[in-house]
Amino acid sequence: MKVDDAQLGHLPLFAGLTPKEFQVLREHLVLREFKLGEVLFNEGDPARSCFVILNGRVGVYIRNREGEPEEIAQLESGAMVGHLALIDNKRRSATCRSQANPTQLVELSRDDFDRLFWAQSSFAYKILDNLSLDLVQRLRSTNDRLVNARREQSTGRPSLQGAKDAAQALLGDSIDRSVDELDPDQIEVCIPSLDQRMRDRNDK
Amino acid sequence: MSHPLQAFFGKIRLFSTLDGDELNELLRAIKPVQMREEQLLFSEGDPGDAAYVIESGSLEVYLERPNRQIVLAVLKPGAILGEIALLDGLPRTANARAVEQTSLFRIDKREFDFLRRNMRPAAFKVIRGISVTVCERLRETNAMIREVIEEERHGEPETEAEAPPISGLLGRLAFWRAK
Repeated sequence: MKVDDAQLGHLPLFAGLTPKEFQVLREHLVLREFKLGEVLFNEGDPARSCFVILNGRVGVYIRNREGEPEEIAQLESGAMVGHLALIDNKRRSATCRSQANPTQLVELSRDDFDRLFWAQSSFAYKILDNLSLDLVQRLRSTNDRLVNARREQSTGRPSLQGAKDAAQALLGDSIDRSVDELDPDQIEVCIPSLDQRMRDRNDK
Repeated sequence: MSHPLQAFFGKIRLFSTLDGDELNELLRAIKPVQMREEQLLFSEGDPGDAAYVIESGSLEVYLERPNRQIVLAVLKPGAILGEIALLDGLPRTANARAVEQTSLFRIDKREFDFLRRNMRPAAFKVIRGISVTVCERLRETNAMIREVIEEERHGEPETEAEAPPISGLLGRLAFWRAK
């Protein structure tokens, strides 16, 4: 099996894992592929897993008052999608759609993560460490942007663009992103092995 | 032997998943602090080196701005203050002072980091609890963004008078809200 741990290790969520912990990670990650326009999940769906984008792009949409989808953020390779699902037991707050053909992601379920956490797995602790810092940074930068956006408006409310900037901070570019772009060659190495593992899983 | 403060901390949501031994371990990082009325606990920009739990009395969290103070929250016994500092240690984003004579427990970040570095379940259960709070606030922020987008699309005219006062908006945004 040729999973490239270094490649997964570049993803902020998996930073600092030991080879043994990567072994655990590989047992729990599932490779997912979505065609252009295909929905990862819909607003209101139960949030049961977190995704990390390996390559491609994901658009995040919420419905405006007329019920039409409004794009509020775009997420690229290395970004997490639906990561609040690992922490709390709520519903998806937005709809996510693939904007590339295909978008490839790895998925980690909350059930798996929870089981490992309560079993005091160092793997789950490290992921929680990475995730909690990421969440706090998002909260801080989103708040900053909303407050700034508000300041620019005489009405005392953030502008639409200000709100979208805040949404991008909330969902997209975490400050601590240790990679901006993944190296496509390495993804090629990474994906077949994940794919193989998914097939192994399905065969069981 | 169980720590005398176990009963108090065991009732606080953030610590409710810790068992007796874990709570004991965490309590070693915790020291009592007494404050007089009007005494300042920390100021905006101070290092985020601890979280606090209120045992009795109350604390006011406020921003100091030209010509005015903006009160963001008044925190009562059982409330936790500055817990996000345990995660990222960044400087304080507001001031906090005692409204009356107040007893606090101080959770030292360095001691907490020691538990975290040693992969102690006590630390990670607390980190998980803080993360749940952060998630709630992110979801609230998300809901605010949604309101703006909905209203903008609706083309609702907005006058100065309708705009929420800054303390309302900041109160909804900030880390400092009373539970």
